[in-house]
Amino acid sequence: MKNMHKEFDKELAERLYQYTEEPPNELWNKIALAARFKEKDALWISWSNYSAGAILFVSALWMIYAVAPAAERRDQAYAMGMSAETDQGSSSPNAPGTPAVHVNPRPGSGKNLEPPSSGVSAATPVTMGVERKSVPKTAEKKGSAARDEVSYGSAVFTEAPIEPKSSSPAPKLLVGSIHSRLDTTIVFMDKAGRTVTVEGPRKKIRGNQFSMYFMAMPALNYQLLDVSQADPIQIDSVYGSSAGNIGQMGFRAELGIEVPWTKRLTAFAGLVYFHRNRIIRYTELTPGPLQPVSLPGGGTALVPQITTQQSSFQDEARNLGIQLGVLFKLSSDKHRILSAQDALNSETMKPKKRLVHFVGLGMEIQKSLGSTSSPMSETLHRPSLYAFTSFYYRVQYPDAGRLRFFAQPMVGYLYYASETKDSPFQLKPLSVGLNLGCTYRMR
Amino acid sequence: MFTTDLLTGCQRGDAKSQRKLYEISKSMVMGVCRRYTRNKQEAEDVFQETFIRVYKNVRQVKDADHFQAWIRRTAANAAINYYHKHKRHAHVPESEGYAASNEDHGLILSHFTDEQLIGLINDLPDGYRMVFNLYEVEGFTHAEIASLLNISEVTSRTQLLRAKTLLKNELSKLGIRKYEKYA
Repeated sequence: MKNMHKEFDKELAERLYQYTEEPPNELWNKIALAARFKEKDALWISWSNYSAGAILFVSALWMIYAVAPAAERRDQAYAMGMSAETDQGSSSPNAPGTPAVHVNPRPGSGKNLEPPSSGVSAATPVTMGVERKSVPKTAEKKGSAARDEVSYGSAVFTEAPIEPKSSSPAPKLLVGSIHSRLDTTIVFMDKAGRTVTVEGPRKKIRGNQFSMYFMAMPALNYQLLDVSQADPIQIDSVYGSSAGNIGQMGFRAELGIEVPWTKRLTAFAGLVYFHRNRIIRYTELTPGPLQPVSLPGGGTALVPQITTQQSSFQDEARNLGIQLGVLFKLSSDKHRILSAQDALNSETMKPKKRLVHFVGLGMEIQKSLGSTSSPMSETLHRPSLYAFTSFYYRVQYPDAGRLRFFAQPMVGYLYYASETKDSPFQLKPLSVGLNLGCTYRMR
Repeated sequence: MFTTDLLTGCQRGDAKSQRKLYEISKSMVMGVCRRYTRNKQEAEDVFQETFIRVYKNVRQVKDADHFQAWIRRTAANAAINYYHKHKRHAHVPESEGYAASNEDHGLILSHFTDEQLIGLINDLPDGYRMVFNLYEVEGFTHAEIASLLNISEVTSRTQLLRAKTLLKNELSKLGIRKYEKYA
């Protein structure tokens, strides 16, 4: 009897142990959301947040420890003043590390960069603050004549005579140019009416130069989805994430070359990688049990009862593409025409690294690298090619240098996507976004 | 099926491996979940929790040979956890003392489908069902069950006995009617 009981228990246990059952299909989406993305892709979102934070942190550190002390040093230099006493023989090439100071006895000359000539009184001191920078040897060798040809970045020298405000002869500025990277050149008249030129380090404009750049930016994009009518899934509505939702923040990296066409216009081309995870929520309509409905003319019809179900899926986009575009500089702080008073005023002479503004237009062709986050996302990103254009406004800091930081609101328009008809969702063409990032230029 | 490559892929967090693991183990996991829970809705909750735990803790698995057993055990643990969170003090019907012959049970069992058996298990009170599954199906001892469910060993034994009695009575009630059809 006992054995028979055991046999029964054993058989029952065996059948229960071997029992299997197919779970509903939609459970994978829920698990992918709850498990995988809680781990891996939440890690990605965290990584995006951390990288954005790191960029801000590095920017802040850079501002505190690099920009501020440099400004302080300049302030000190200006406050102390540098006595550049000129005399007859002072037009000889300067020793490295000192600015070139030339005195021209012919005031009011339209040729502002004329070579210094002799006849300057040694008793006439010229006091001004300049950043000490070494003068390239080539420039020294060329001598004063060479200085006529010297170009200072994109500096434009203009004659800007200033009328003295008082009876005492104020210094009269002929030429003023402050380069944002402390390449300083000032030409003005001293009290004796002579032209004094103080030069900073020289820079040449290299024709047709190009530079490589690498750009990394967390991207907050806002792109709505359209519901496809061709697929078997009936979607009532889709809820897009808001533009400020950190959960849908993507990451964009670019590697390319920049070619300056004009002083303001730059062309660029390169590779683009884009990665984004976001949660798409939607309301799905599902037919329920048949319900008898009375017809107006009499009789009864069985109509399926439509029920709504809130669903969501993790949408992962991983695209690799190429881009081509132009960047137009709206403003720059490279050129500042100083007044004579300003020239002797350390505060106003202090070069400032202001924000620089650009507008840009780019065309991109991106290829989807596929998505494995969820079956729905796989379907959504099955299209292999996207082509779109983007228009953006960029605020950059600083203007020059290898490492530059920017904020970039943008509008994009998707004009081609090789959509598949069975996809329940399709990307809407218009999108807006905000990119925050940095650019590193390799020359 | 549960290969070393699959295990290492899941441990790396490879999405394809995770998906493959889901595909090959989902039926088995759902079967376990259905045994431990009262209905399909609860089973789906435990099912999700099981895979969340599997993906999270897959690095604990050292040997691919034990991978399937580990997943099964994870599902059982998830079910136990669910039981603790959703403990219900359901009314336990007294045994009616229905005494069917033992020969009947053997025949009755063969005439039931798996789904019908699961239905009977689902109808057991929560505590009975947990003890029955853990002892009879998974092979835990009463001491282990007592530790897992925070009950005493005596309670575990008692609940198992009552679970069996209830189950056999239900089987007999349904099965004899069924058996009569075949007879």
